[in-house]
Amino acid sequence: MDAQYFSGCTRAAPHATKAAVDAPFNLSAADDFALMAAVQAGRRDAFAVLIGRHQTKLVNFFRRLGAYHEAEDLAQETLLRLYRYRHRYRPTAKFTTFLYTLARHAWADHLRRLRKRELWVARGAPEQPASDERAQHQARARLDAQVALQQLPEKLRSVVVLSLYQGLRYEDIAAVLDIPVGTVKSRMFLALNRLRAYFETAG
Amino acid sequence: MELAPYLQDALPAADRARVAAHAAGCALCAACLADFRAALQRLAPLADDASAADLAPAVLARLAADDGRAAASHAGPAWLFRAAAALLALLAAGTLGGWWLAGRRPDALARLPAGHPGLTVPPAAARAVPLAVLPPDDGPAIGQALAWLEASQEPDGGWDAARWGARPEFTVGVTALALLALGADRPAALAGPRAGTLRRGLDYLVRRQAAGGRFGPEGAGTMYNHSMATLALLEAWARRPEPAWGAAAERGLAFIRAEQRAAGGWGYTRGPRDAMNASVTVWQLQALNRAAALGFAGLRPGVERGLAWLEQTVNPAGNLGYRRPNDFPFGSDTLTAAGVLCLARAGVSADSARLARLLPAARAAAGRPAALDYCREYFLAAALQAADAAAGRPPRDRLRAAVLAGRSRTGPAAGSWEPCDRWSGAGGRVYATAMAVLALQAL
Repeated sequence: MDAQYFSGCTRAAPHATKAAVDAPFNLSAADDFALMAAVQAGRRDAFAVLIGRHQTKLVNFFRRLGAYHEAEDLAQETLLRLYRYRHRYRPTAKFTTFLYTLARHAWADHLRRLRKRELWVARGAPEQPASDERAQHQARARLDAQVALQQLPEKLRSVVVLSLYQGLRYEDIAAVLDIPVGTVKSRMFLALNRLRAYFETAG
Repeated sequence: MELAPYLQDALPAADRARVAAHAAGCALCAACLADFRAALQRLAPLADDASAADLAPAVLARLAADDGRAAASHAGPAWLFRAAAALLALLAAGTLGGWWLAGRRPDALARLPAGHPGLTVPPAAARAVPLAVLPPDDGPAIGQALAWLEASQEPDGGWDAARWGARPEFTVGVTALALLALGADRPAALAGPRAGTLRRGLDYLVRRQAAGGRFGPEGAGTMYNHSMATLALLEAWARRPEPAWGAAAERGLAFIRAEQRAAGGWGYTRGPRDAMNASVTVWQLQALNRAAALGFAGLRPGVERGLAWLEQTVNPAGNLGYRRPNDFPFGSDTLTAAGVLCLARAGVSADSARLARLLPAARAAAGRPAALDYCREYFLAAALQAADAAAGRPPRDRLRAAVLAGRSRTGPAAGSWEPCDRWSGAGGRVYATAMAVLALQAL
């Protein structure tokens, strides 16, 4: 992780004052900005609340990108980086933009470590055996969607996952991926075009 | 290119109207929109987030481990000398190879996926404080923790669970644990400089008792809150016979007896009457055992029925199950140790067949590194201290190392313990600190 990832974001948020840390407040009711201010000053109980709030989305983000068994490890790694780089967060940016920027770099590092790209489909289906017909149908639909996503090149898949499933706006995706908004749009268009072709052939 | 944001409702109103008008007159774009819409629908089944494990305990334990390594690396020459000497001795004894390796390459090991072939990676928290660099005694650590607890008491006398990252309904329970850690069971504490803190806390518990004798709110945590509060008041009353504390404790005991199921165990107050579990049961038995030892009459039959229910959950390997034999949703170490403690405190002899069933598993657990779990370490320390005195002391250094791994060394909460074990989501920093202190005190 380099400072370049957060150019211009190298100082602690101005509101991360001692008062913000010492002042008692209801952690579970605090918003992400307030929690990050407390985290920046070393409050790990605030960090625990922040983790609880975002962990499911984060784990599912990695699962959709193609990780399965490693998804929780990658989420852990992202959260550790979040703590280590907490002073680079500034409350002018959305917290989720910061979080998914870290997640994207954790994912990129993971892919580099793999050396050779493994397809999720080659590593077994993540779904539990379904118990009834309706559940089996849902499981098949999830599997179809997951396989379709894995057909996309990494750059296109990231845009689709961040937009469709993580709920980020195009401007936020541009910030996370460090690309212009126009490129986000073009990648989304290309992704949908490829998915359309894939679903036509897959039936 | 605008078709995708159009479908996702991500265009300004004017652009959206422009795209809609164009698509209405362009068959190619209309067909493209229909296909894209269908593709998006095919992706929709992945929109629901599948559940994920609670990551906070593992992440916070890894941060605590980082702190531990940083503290160790900043230790002075005297520490290094002592560490090196102890390390050599332990390596010579062939017992520390794994710890040493873990200390050398913690990050690389920690990144390996679980189940990686060829390596057994001790949990990060267990690696946090190598045995060789343990401080010589726990006095300073306990003193700082108690100072932190005192400083975080609320004006009303309680400890606010929500303020410290926990669920608000556990405020009564964490208050009771804080009082026990601060010395509610020690006469000197009730007469010393912490007397005011203890008195305010105990009076707070009395005020949180409902008409039926129950401490704290009705909910999933009722029986934990209740037994812990009853225990704290009993201990304090035994040392300083304040009538209000004794009366509240007596009403608390009556509530516990009323909640005992016909089969002998206890369960959640809102659950079915035949649903019992060992976790709730061991806390009720702790309160009843203590009261019986203090001379409260008529409790022994209930204790025996409770112990009998607990013992029927023990499997052939001597591990105590959660609801039945081999039922281990949270592992078996904590419950097995708690079972030993309940039997020993009920007066069952260490060389009896009843304790002999459980003791080997508890002893083995005490010597085995595990993910940081303050409850586990407390019950292991207390159980082996209570039951195993004749057979030798518990493996003090390993248990101390496990507990000290969670200690917060920097920041505004320095001196407290990190809320990073599996129960910290319920109890938060007050629970973590109090339970760690109780574990160290039991060693």
